[in-house]
Amino acid sequence: MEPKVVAGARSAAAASGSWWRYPSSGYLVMQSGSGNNWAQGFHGYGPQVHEDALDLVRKEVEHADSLTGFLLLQSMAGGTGAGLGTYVAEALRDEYHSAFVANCCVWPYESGEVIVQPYNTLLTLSHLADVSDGLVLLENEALHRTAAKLYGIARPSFGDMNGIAARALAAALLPSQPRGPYAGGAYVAPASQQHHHHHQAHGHGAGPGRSSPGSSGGGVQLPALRRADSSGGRLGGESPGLGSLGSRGGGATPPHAAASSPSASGAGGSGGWGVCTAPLAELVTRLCGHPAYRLLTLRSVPQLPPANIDFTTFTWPALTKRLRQMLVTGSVLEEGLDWSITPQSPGAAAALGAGLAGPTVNRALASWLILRGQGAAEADVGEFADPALSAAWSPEPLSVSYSTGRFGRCAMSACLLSNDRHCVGPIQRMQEHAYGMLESRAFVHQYEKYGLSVAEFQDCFARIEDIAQRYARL
Amino acid sequence: MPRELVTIQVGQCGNQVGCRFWELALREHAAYNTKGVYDEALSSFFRNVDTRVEPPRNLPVGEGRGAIRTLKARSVIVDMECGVINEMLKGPLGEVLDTRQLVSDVSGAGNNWAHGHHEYGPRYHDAILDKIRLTAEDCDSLQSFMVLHSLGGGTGSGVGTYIVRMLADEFPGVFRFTGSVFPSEDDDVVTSPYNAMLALGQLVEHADCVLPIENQALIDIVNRTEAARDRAAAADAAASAVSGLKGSGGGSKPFDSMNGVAASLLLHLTASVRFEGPLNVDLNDITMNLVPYPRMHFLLSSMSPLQPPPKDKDVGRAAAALALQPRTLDQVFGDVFSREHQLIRADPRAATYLACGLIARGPTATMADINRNVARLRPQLKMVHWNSEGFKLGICSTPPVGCPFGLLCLANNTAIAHTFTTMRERFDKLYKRRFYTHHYEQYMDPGGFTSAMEVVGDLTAQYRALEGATQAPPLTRLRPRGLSFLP
Repeated sequence: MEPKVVAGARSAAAASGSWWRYPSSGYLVMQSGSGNNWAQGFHGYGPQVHEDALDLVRKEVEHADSLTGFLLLQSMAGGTGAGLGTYVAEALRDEYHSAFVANCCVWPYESGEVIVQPYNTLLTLSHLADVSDGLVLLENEALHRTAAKLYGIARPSFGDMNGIAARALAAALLPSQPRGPYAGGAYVAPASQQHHHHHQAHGHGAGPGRSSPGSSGGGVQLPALRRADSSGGRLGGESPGLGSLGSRGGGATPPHAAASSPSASGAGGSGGWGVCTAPLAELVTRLCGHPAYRLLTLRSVPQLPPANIDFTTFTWPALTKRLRQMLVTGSVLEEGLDWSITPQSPGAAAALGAGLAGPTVNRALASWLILRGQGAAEADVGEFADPALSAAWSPEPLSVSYSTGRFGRCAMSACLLSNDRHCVGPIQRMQEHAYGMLESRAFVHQYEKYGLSVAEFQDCFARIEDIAQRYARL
Repeated sequence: MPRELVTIQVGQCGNQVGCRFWELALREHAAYNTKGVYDEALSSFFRNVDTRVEPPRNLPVGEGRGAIRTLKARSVIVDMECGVINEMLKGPLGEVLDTRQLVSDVSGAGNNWAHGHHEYGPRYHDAILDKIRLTAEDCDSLQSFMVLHSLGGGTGSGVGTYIVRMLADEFPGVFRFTGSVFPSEDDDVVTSPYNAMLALGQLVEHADCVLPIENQALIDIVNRTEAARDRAAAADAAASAVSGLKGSGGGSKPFDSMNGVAASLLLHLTASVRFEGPLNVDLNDITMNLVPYPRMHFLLSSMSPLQPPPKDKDVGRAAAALALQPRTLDQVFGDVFSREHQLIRADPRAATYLACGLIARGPTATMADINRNVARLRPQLKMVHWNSEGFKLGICSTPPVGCPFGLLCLANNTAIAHTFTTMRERFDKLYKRRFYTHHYEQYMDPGGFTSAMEVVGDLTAQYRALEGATQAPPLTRLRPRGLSFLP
């Protein structure tokens, strides 16, 4: 709602040579900004720019052959990104019923960048939890620490942090091809079915893939169709979803054929970009199946300064081991990992905040692992399929995709999008601040000017409590 | 077409501060706008006028690449006696200030708030409103008004607060900032306590945000920098040539440096509106984040560097002046929280912060620096319990003229209650015996005194109630449960 940043972005894009630029009239700016006021963005500017914003979107949608969905990039602490962004998400949901609406939201610094950020963040989150199909949370603090510790930038600027976030997001959303988690792209562990059942019944054990010594890339492949003979019935029931996916995704060959080719050939799938369904659709259907669980965390390895890439040797086991430990501890950074925490730790099965003294282990509802680089089709990532890492009732806890093309200059890289309970911590801390402020009715008059009353605040906080409770009990 | 800011200068003090402000604004823009184009940054304070045609035509910003023809300030000048204004218009600012936007009278308000507010105010209501409306129509999207005035005199406080009330009625959607100069202890106007109290009563109700500036604090600041500069200069250069040049910056008028400090405050405040940066802070961001309750809109300001480096002809003194500028960004953070850099006489560290905003200027300032310094200084500050971590941060890439970085701190702090109390005591000394009240009763009804006292008293009590509220009260808080009670 103020012109400087948009003007800067467009001139930067135009100055990047003739690779790409923003459409010449594809922007909407006003003058005064939203004053960090969520209510001003939502109730004030929302109805005002409704027509113009939807017109701009319609122009772009008309160019598309088959629309999968929208990805909104916004912050949660401000007025325009949070308030107007939420309004636009709701408007898109109303206007385009069959398209996905995914959001990529930036969680502010806990030390505060805006004083009313607790209000703005929780208002945004409560509204988007109903409207959005999937919400990727990027925390400013995590990005800052990544830049400072892993990229070696002593005083990270917003440009650096934005670059890290954009790279991680691109690693997740660039085209990729589905495959199974075990060596060679198999959907079922190369070890025998019996073995697999036994392991699963006990509910622990280091993933089946690892324990079979003799299985090389080619091994005993059961040419199972994906999700057909599900070992233990955990992988069932997704075909209706897949069918509609095929009709909407606009890809070429149906997923069944694509899935069977890796296991049939036994030597990894076809190289290159190959068949890919729309990444947004994959994200939503694989990860956000339950309406109450929509918050995703994005982890990406390796996090290396560009100068070190040439001097690093990449191996799949090293990358995936670190990524798995990041998932287990809930951290988003590649360093400072606490290796003593495993899914078998004593506190693992507890709900968060249940007061047990053990370390809290992260648990996910669903995870989507994307491998990029050479050998991505065959790498064994069976350890991610450990049942202790995911909630007992989740229908498909792990999906894996690959692409043999490199991402950036790293020979191998991996990215994990997971619907896990890492988000509960920041939400609870933000709630404390917000409740304290609301109790003293601080800043409330600024929101009441635009029609947001104390009762609405309390409704929104109740919704957030729901979300946090559910995730904590995952 | 960025957000324009219209300045309304009222009274002798207001006009002098305003004068200095335009000088410094032109200097700042000249330093960064080397090609002489009329860009968006300039358009927030100035109009570009083509004087070759009659009537003179305003040139729009357009793409921001048109050449500057004649710059005219977006300001309205009000004074009830014409001495100061005439002198201003005769000087180098005569071209920038438009005589069309001038409202003046001859005899002055006699240092009487009631004369200004109840007599001149209504009499010139239409004239002032017309001029303001003309100026507002020249703006593409007006964001706020800035009223510069003093509270101790008659015109600035009386007519100034009348204008603030008028703006609240006529332009409700536009923010009303005021830069109000509070009278010092030994003000040369005897009735200044009355004027200040009555004006303050109006400001509490009708202004959106008040930036109090105390004369005494400015005097202290200027004296300190002058003393330090003289010491440094005397140490540097040989004694004879330099020691002859004492006083404020070689031949300028006595209030110039003080007004310069006040004017720099306005420049820093609007820097993020005019120039770009990684984290922009608009004026409405400031009112949103720093005003927790509707009437508690008095912000203590402090900044570093305090004064723009003067254009000293003498190399020795110029070097000495540069030596006084802060050396590191960390140093400026320490400065702005110290007592010496505040623009009112208060020690904010001894009182409780309700909200604090920091606007850093300079190309090398990053979030990391600000966060580091805030973490370093936070333990020394007392913050109210519901905002224990809250700071409003902003970064603007353009530094102030002459220094590689700068910082402005706007704090909503309970120390202002102390200022109000001192003012109230001075007021009581006179009002107990009803000295001079007959002058006021000529124009207004005696109830005006009591209502102003009540309003200011209530506000002081509100601030005092929050003083020391750094711990949350030990009540059990009911958390909204949502549907979690369902199995």
